[in-house]
Order: sequence, then C-alpha cells, then structure tokens
Amino acid sequence: MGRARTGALAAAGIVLLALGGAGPWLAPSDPLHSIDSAALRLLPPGTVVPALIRSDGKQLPVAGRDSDRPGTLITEWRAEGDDVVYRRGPRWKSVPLEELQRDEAGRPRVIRLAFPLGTDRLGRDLLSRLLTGARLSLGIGIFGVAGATLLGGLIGLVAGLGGRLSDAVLGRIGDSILSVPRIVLVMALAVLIRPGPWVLALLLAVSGWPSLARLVRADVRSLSGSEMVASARAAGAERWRVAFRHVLPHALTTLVVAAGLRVGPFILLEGSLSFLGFGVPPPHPSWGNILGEGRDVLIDGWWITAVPGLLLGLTVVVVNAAADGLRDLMEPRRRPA
Amino acid sequence: MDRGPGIVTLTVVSRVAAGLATLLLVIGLGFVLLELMPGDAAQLAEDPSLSAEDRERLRSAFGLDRPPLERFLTFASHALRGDLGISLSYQRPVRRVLLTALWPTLLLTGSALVIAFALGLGLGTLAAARGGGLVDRVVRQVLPALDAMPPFWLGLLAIYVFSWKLDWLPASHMTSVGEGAGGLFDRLTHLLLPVLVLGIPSAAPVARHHAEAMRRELASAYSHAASAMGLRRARVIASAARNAMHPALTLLGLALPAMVGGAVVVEVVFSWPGLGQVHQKALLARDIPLALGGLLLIGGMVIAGGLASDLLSALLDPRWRRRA
Repeated sequence: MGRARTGALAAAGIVLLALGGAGPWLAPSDPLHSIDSAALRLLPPGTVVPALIRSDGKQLPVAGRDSDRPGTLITEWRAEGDDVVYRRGPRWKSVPLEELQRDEAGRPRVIRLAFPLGTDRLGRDLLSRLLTGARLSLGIGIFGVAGATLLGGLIGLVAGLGGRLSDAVLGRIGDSILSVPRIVLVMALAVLIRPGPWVLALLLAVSGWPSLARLVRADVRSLSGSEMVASARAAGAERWRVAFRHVLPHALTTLVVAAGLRVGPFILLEGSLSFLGFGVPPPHPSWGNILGEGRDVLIDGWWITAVPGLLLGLTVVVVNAAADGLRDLMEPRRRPA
Repeated sequence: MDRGPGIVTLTVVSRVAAGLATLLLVIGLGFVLLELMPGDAAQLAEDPSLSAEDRERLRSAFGLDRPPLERFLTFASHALRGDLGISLSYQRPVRRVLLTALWPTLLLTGSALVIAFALGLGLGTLAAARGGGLVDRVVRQVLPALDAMPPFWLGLLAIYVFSWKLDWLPASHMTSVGEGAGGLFDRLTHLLLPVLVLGIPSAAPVARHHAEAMRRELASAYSHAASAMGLRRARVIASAARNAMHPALTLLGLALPAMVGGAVVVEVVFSWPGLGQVHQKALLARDIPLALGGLLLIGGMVIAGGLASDLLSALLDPRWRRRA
C-alpha cells in the first residue's frame, strides 16, 4: 500500500478513535434532551436559530413553522408593549420584557444557536448525538471483536490441540452457531438478556467466536503436523510447551488479521441491531438507533437518515481498509490484492 | 463411467448426517433460549396467587415437572414434525404463520443470491480478463464500499430516491392495493428494490474472490498453452472461468447465513412480509413461540441451503469429472 494511502488511513483511524473516546465531551449540546422540543423540532442541517434568554438563564429558542407553509422556518420575534412575542413551534408565545435578559439599551439579549447537522424529531442536536453515540457504536463493535477473538482463539486452540472428540464437539457447536445468521442470533439473545453496552459486546462475541475458532483450529492443526513442531517434540518439549512457544505465535498472526477484518462488520452489526430495536435502547444515542428513529421521519427529516448512515458507512470503509493494510503487513507473502 | 456410486452415496450421506446433527444442535440452542426466556409457561406455573395444588397441576400439564432431557426430546420431536405451538400475537399455529412468510423470504433471498453471483462472477471475470481499468476499480473499490454501508441505510436511501423523489418504484410490501394489484409487473416492481439492495453489495466478496481465481487460472500453464495453440482469447477466458467457478460454489454456502441475515434487515426496511420481519416483530412483541419458530426455521433454511451447495460443489468437483 502506498505511503500516502497509509498516512491518510492512519490519520482517519486516529480521528475515529478520538471521536470514539472523546465524543461525549466534544458534543456542543445535550444529546439526550432538547432545549425546546416544540421549537427545535426537525431543523435541517445548517440551521441557525436565534434565542432569547430568560433572567434565570433558560434559553428560549425562536423557531417554528406554519402549517400553510411547512417548508419555511419562522424565526421572528417582536416587541408588543411590555411583552415580547416570539414564535415557538406552531404558535406565538409571549413573555414579559422584564423577565428577559437585556442589553444596555434595554433590548432583549439574543444569542444564536447553531445546528450544523440539524435536529431530530425531539429537537435534539444531531451533531451532539452522533458524537456521543460514536463511543457506543465503535466501542461495542471493537469490544465485541476483542471478545470473539479471545473466545475463538482459546476454543480454536483447544480444538486444534485436543483429541478428536473435543474437536468434533466444538466443531459441531461452532457450526450450529454459524448456521444461524448472526443478527438473528443476537436479536434473540438480546431479547433474553435486555443488554447494556457491555453485554451487547458480549453477545456479539458469543455470535462471532466460531468463525475465528475455525481459523485458529485449522492453523493449529496444520502447524502441529509441521516439521518445526516435530523437531521440538523430538528435542523433548512437552505438548503444551510446544503449543505456546511454537504454534501459538503463527496462529496468532492469522487470528489478529482475521480479527481486524471483522471490526467493520461488527460495527455494522451493532448498527443493524440498534436500528431494529434490539441494541442500545433510547434515549441513549448510538448511530444505529438514530437511524432507527430517522426511519419514521424519512420524508421530513432525511438528514437524520443520510448523515448517520454515511458516517457509519465511511467508518466501516476506513476500518476495513485499515484491516486490509494490517493483513498486507502481517502476511507479506500474499500478493497485495 | 466409473464414478463409483459408493463414494457418491457416502459423501451425500455423510454431509446430510452432518447437516442433521447441526440442525439438532440449533434446536438445542432454541430449547435453551426457550428455557431461559422470561414470560413463558414456567412463569404461569410460578404464580403465587394460585394454590399449591393448582400450581402442581399446571406444571404437569405443561410438562415442566419432567427432567430437562425429556423436555428437550419432546421439544425436538415436536419441532422436527413441524409443531411449534401457537403464536401469541397471531393466535394461530406458529407453523401456519411461518409457512405464509416462508415464500417471500425464499423469493427475496433466492433472487438476491442470483444477482450477487451473476454480478460477482461476471464482474470478476471481466476484471481478470481486462486486467486493470474501470471494471477492476469497480470490483476493488466501489463494490466493497457498497458492502461496507449499512444495508438498512442503502435500503432507506433507495426508498427515498427511487420511490419518493423519482416515484419510479414502490417502497414496501410485495404488491400494491387496488388496481393492478397482484399482476406480474406489480410483483416485479415491488421485488426490484429489495433484491437489488440485498444482492448488489453481496456481489463484492464474490467478485473479488472470483477475479483472483480467474487471474490464477489465466496465469496458469494450461491457459498459456491454450492461447499458444491458437485458441481465441474468448475461449481461453471461458474455459478458465469454468475452472475458477468451482470455488465460487463453496462461497455460496458460506455466504448464505450473511445473506439471510441481510434479508432480515431488508425485509424490515421494505415491510417485506417474510420470515425476517415476522421474527423481528415476534421478538418485539415477546411472542416467544413464534420468535423461536422463526429462529429454528431460519437456521434450518441456512443449514439446508449450505447442505445443497455443499453437495452441489462436491458433485461438480472437476476432479471427479476427469475420472469419468
């Protein structure tokens, strides 16, 4: 892979990890609650909305729509006598001027609220939700793969080194888990357990270990018969020693490469699960459940579907490319695809 | 024709036996889930407001006082015979609900598989034959990018563009209501979007795999000899494709669980009345018998499909043909 591409990929990877780690702190607004659901409902990306400020500090956004002209956003407010009348959702509201914070000239203070990616059905800032959700969407996928790798590695090792019975039994169990589509399996398990994020990762791991175990087992089997191992045994090394010092490092390479290739699909799996309603429960955002909510407002709020989906897809593309790079790095005898 | 019918039969029997063993384990998995699920018959029997006698009677009526192994065997024998209980949400036998939903899923998954393989094999062959260029880029970059996108997102995007904005194709269900409903054209237009959304991204691994296999074939001594002997390029490619086809069949079996899983998502997005949608709704409604039945049927389908492709690939093994 070219140097430029590696560099770009590494940069993208770091950005993603930063998002995942620091996301919740980078979010400009509260991802769980809107300042004002009625006013801020379903604002398109790039909307900037003025807001009055009450003496107690509470922000009063000025935004609303008219049912006659639903496409236009009304952000007007005006003074009427001692009161200020402003638009809030479908209605005009009025508040006494003295309850508002004012500048030196006595006019109400106005700040501007920006929503670069728009808002959702409940008026929550999409950018904040995506940033906060990044941690769950990425984390569940990554930890799921980690768990599957650990489980699959161990079980594959046991199956490869152990007797024929354990190999056969483990193989059959693995095959039966593989026969049920991953998403169907985890859906059913999720209803059973009603998971939080860690348990979700565990469920993903449980659904994912068979294919990794298969790889490890195959590697272990073929390496066990190799000359290197035979000579080690001839030199008197006992079985388990042989396993850990000679067989494992080679199998490890295969395992690591395979694990890297699965991060992308696992992230997608969490997305699909949350989309279908079996993953992270609302109101906590994950990219998947944001997309699930977006489905209901596809016509009026297409950005709720477009942006998270694109983000999720691009993330997976980057992760997959990184995994491909890792594979090229660790298995150089292959012709890079 | 000395193919040795004994070997053929042996292979078939052993593969079928393996498939059955796997199926039994899937049923076992289902049984374990059933036992652990909250809200099933066991809870009724635990109800403290009933007298101890009544509770005992309920337990034996549901067979809960039998040892687990016996319960499992009863469950398994019922499942294998197709008796999966009554659906709580539909108030009809689970078997009936599932059978009604089976055909739509088969149609969707089958058509998507055809598309995935036709597209994948075709593009893979072209990519290998042209050696670089536009087709190669599509195979190596465009298709995997599509595959990386969330399938439900592609579906929603397709609905938004083709159904809402362009009004070319319908957005949900198998047929329309009202005039023109049920006709072939109607069914085809309803099928088109879901099948494309499911099938095109799945062509990515097939195309990649096949292109590599083709390249290996075309670089082999056999192909070089053939062209040196004056065979037209197209013929060389065609015979290389035939040889490279075999690994693609194994890929079919491996791709099946992923395809069926993808079908679940696509069915939900397009309100396609198939097994996936039924299963999802059943889980959300805590309709345990139906959800479990759906799980078993989906697992069974995948096993059967894998078995079929396994057998097909074993029987079409080129090594056998040369023996004949």
